[in-house]
Amino acid sequence: MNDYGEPLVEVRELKTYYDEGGGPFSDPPVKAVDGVSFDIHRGETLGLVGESGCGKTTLGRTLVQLETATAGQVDFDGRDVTRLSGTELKRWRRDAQMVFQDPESSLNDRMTVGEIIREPLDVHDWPNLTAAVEDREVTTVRGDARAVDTQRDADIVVSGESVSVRESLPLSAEELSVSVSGETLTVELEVPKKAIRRDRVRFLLDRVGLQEEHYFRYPHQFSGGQRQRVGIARALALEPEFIVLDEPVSALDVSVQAKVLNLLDDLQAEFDLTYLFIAHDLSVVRHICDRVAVMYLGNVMELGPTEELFRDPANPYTASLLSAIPEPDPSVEKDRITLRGSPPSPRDPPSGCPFATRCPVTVRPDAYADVDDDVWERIQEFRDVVRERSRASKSLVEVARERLGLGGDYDNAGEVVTELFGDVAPSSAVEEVLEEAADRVDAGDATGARDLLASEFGGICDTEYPEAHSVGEAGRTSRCHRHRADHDEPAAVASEVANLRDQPTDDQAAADD
Amino acid sequence: MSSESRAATATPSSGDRPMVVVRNLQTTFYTDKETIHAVDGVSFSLYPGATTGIVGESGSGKSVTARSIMGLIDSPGRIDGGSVRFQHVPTVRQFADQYGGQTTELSDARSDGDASLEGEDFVAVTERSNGEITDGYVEMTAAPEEALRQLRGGGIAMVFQDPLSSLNPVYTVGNQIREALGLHQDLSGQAAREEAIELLEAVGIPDAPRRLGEYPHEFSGGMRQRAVIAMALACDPEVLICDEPTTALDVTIQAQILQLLQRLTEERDLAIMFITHDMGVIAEMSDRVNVMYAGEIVESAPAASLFDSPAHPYTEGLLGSIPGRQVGADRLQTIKGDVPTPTAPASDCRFAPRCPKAFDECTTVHPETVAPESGGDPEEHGVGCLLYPEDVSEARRIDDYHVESEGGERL
Repeated sequence: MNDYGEPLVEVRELKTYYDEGGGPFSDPPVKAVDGVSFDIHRGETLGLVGESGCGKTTLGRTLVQLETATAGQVDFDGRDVTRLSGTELKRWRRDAQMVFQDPESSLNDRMTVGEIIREPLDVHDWPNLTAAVEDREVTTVRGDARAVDTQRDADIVVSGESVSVRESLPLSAEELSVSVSGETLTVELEVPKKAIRRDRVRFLLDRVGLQEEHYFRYPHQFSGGQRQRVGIARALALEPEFIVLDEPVSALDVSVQAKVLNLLDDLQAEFDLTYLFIAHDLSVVRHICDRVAVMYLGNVMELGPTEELFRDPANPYTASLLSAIPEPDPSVEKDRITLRGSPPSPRDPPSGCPFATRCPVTVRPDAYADVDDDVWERIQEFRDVVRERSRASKSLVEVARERLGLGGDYDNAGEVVTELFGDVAPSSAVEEVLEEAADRVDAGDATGARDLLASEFGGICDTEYPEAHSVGEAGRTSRCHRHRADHDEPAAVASEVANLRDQPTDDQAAADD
Repeated sequence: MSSESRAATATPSSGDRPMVVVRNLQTTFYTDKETIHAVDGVSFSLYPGATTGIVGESGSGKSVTARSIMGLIDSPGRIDGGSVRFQHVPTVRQFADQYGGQTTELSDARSDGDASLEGEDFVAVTERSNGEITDGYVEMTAAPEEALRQLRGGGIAMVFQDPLSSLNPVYTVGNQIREALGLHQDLSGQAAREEAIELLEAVGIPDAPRRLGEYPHEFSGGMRQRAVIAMALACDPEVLICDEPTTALDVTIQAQILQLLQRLTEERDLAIMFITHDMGVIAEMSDRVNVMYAGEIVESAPAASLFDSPAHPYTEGLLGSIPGRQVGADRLQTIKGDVPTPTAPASDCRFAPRCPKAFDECTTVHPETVAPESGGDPEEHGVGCLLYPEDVSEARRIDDYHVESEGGERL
């Protein structure tokens, strides 16, 4: 499975920012997708996982040009689609479709299911027939078809007296009148296009496991699973090559989910589809995807073959994400890495590694290399608090108080320090820095405190964006400074941390017994 | 939680007194079009310090069960039968005091535990020593609105799926927690503020004093759910009903919240009823699991045995369709058809039309809860399926039902 064939979609340094006001008073933009590069190979399913707000949906929408990319390029079959516009863009859209997450809101309640699936066909005036004459060059094609560059792509091929029509079309040679005169080929449809489209819709209904009589029903008459099937049929209508599936089964119950996943599998085999499968449910991804990209705060942290990545995650974020999945088996005991807090705001991402603020295995500066792990953990917590404070929006009164040197409303960061470090004894060097930081917070200078803490306790993880290091055997990459030769691998450190964390709970359990 | 402590709590010993006992609860919704038996004869108990899970697909009646317990069923819904007993002795004492006229004394009657309440009564005293009430219960289904309001939050608290909709957007979080404290604990001013800070810290919100002054929109999703849990705990409840508390959260945040709930169960000896559709979450959280289907509990067992040896074909199907459990398998197992809406009283097995193992009698006989093997205790591992007890011949099993229904001795 390592040989994935040629890439269909090549994404290079893609960035999508929202809210780029640019004015002097505007907030910094939301960096939803912040420079990602990867390939999607023909016929594969690439999974895209991450927490909500990490930019996975934005990335999917940018790939099918529902959002405008801020920078970077998306090469589809060798063509940069971020630069397409007008009729070119419309023609390309046939090749790339999307299935949306919520089947309740992605179907128009006032249209019948038949109309919903037929709509893209109507919009694109399907069937857009192409015709060619075998072993001969024709310069013009008239009527309901147009010329084609390569003969094997033609829908209608004329060879001598006989006419052949591509099998997947709901059309037979008898329904066409074809005439060749000199360099001109004329193709006329004898049946209305509408009828052909209706046949196509019926065919699609059947393929996604619905009945023909559902054509005239309305979405509200269907269950969630059936609605999602309608959404899938609509995406398939124009015979796309590439489909972005944005959490297609997240809104469904597990037994319905299984059916839709099986359906997606079947359709991929039948129509040679390439999927980008966006999900937050990692067990679904493990089941359906060939390769997985793990996103965090607009960046791809790890990318590689599914099984390898699940079995032996290289990136600390992947490891924490995987360890957080509850196993449907009560006898399994896991070493869970519970992350602190929630992801930082994409308006103000960390300057170094995006995951640095929550990472359990950050690289420490040499001066603090021998600080107790427990103390280190609390230093990180204190930094979270200070970071939050520096970011919290302030009311005018608070700003005024600060300016006048009266301190913030809830000053007393010293108390926070005492609370956090109450039962551990930080070394005097650490304590000095903490006190200084707390003083700065109390003086209303949370940003200054934040910078102080960053310069004292921050290591390479806070300052430098990690490279995509190659890990494993099958072209897996992971962004983490710990992959560099001069540091311990993340997995080794993680297990150390996990052991350390386990100890207090074990003691507790013993005490309980 | 280590494996030993889980095993120890998995089966509450018979000496443990359940905090809430639900028996044969029936909640029905009457609409012009149809009558929906959303909860149809559900029985289970909640024990202090233990988590009871209820799992099922959407539409199976999980949330209606929770709302019935809380007395939150509005028209056109109605609790048609069954009982929900809240067996918290201090509450019984308080209510016996407060609602003396609606208290039934069962302590001197030679009660077999099923002696019924009289008329409008909803408080029962079943045991006294030296005049002091030592045992009794409050019948939630019969309690007047006023008493229910005291119980909600105070005795039984609930955490809903969407934290944003259970918080008021125009008040600060601190304000809302202080309100709960004022209503149920009679705290106000500085005392309430200090208690609120303590609660926020207990649910793992750092920098609590500052957080108190913030509005719900300034909290992240996980923080909001923590704040909601803090509010639920504000009144020091005995029972916490969690209705899909982590469904709207990411896995990493879900892990934090689950850990928090586990800690709270141990620390505060809470009886937690945990509703979810996620088999992984239920495996992690529950000591005992009830599987609901179309308004009925089709299987009930300690978590370990349910996941090791599911008895009911529906449980098997449900476990089979989880992608994570069949790594490497090419196709996922599925259950054909959809969850039906229970519009008629059960006269058959509601799962029969979708069941791969159904036989003729399944469409005519309504299964009772039995042990998977004869001689077993259906209270320990119960399954509502005609295939069980497994070691009794099919003809015998069916015969038993006919005898029972003719004799009118149905439970």
